[in-house]
Amino acid sequence: MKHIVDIHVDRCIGCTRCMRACPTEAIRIKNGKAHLLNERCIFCGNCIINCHKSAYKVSGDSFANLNKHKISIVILPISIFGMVTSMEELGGIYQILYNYGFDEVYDLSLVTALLKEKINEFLKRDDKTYILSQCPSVIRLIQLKYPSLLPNLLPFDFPFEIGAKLVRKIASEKYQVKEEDIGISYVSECLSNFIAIKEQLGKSQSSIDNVFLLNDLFRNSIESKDMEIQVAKKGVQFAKVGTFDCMTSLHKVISVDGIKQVDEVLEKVYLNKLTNIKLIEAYSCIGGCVGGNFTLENTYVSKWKINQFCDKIDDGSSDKLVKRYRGLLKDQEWFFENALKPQAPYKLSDDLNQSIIKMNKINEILKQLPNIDCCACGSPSCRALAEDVVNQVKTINDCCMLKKEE
Amino acid sequence: MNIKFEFDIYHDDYQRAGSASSEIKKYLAQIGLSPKLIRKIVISSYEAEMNVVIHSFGGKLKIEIEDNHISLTSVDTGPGIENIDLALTEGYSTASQKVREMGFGAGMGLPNMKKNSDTFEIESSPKGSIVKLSWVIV
Repeated sequence: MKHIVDIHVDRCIGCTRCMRACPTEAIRIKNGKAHLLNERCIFCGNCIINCHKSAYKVSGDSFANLNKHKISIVILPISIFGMVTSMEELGGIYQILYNYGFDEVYDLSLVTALLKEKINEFLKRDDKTYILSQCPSVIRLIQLKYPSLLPNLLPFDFPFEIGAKLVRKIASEKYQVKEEDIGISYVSECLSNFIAIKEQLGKSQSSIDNVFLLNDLFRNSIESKDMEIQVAKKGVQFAKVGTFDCMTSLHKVISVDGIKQVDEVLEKVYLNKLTNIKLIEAYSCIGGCVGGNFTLENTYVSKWKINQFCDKIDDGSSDKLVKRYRGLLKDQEWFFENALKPQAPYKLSDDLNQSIIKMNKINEILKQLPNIDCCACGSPSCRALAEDVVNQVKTINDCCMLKKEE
Repeated sequence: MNIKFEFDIYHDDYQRAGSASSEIKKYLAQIGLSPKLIRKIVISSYEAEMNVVIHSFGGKLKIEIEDNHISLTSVDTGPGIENIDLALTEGYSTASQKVREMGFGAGMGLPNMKKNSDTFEIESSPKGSIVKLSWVIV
């Protein structure tokens, strides 16, 4: 698997900032350049955010791909509502997309509004504590660090995948073309969704043909434009953390954002300390999807804009919209196609005895290291360096502090 | 094959309480025990760790793997458990009001440890308590 995040070697100076920001020890500095350990990456985007040299390079697909299909449809992420305060401003965004050559624009509010109903229904099944994550990074974190919590994960597919299935159906009927004649593009607000589409998390094939990055498409100022747009109000709030709290009859909800905080809350679930909680809503980015690393507006300003926008939507028409599409997808189309499997990228060996021998060696090497976690060796901590030495990717001579003492 | 880890646990250190168990979780995953077994061990070690933080003058948490056995021992320096039978009763707690307000001291620590381990031994005197748990690695 080739990692989709490229590193500009001419820009990277090996400064260790990304490595220290990585929540899963997935980065090492080798020969003065950052390297990613793919199997440990959860695509949270903290490396990109923390790089002050713009060395991390993520490229969206090419607009040339739009010619591959008869009809080109683009789906906007739910966090698009963090950029607009009125229908006219949203119209301006639509206009930009038409100018790019898309035949039709949809947003995800309809899907998230329907998804909310589905989730509420699903939660009534039993009294288990469920984890809701529309965030691929959180799902990856669970696969890596909390595999025993996978049964607690709500098995709903990502909103953009459900959206693509839904839109394909709507459009093939509308244009009277085969479903495969429709090309669906998604505008991603974050690395997490981008890679989930590229790597087909939880499925054998993504329903999305092309992915573009939000900050690539809307660099210029957006002019207001009157357009006939239908938005499902109940779905819009999904763009920010804490929607479930205030929008359902459920009062046993914990909403958590920011990957380190998510990790702490998951640990409490793991220790059976939150058994009286019904739902954990978790987002890797601070603020929820409006905090995605490809968004253009400040997270907190976005939250305010969403409220402004929602105040201007008529409840009646948005309820009608939701009602119209409620039964369009089959039940199974709402769920992940494949069960999510535990990942064990930290395992030292497949053989228990070998692992223990290695672990003892790590502990021995660690005793020789200064244990100040300065990261100058290019590993995220002294312990990580000891692991790298035992795994024969580094030597103890990589420790600058030991060299200094000599 | 065997391996040992040892952690110092301080009385009243709520800031870092639970961090030893987090590390244990990480190390056991690296060693490659089954997620199910790791969860039992970590739940137990968390309870043991919290007991030392809340009730004792401080102590140590040790975890050892030997062949196909894994044992967790918590040793503290006092003041001891007055009535072990009571302490093993679900919901019985001697934790102060202040501790309960922080969300700890629900009286489930020792019962949870017993429930999640294959063998469970406990000794206590005013000089300190020793709780020893073990599991078979299948």
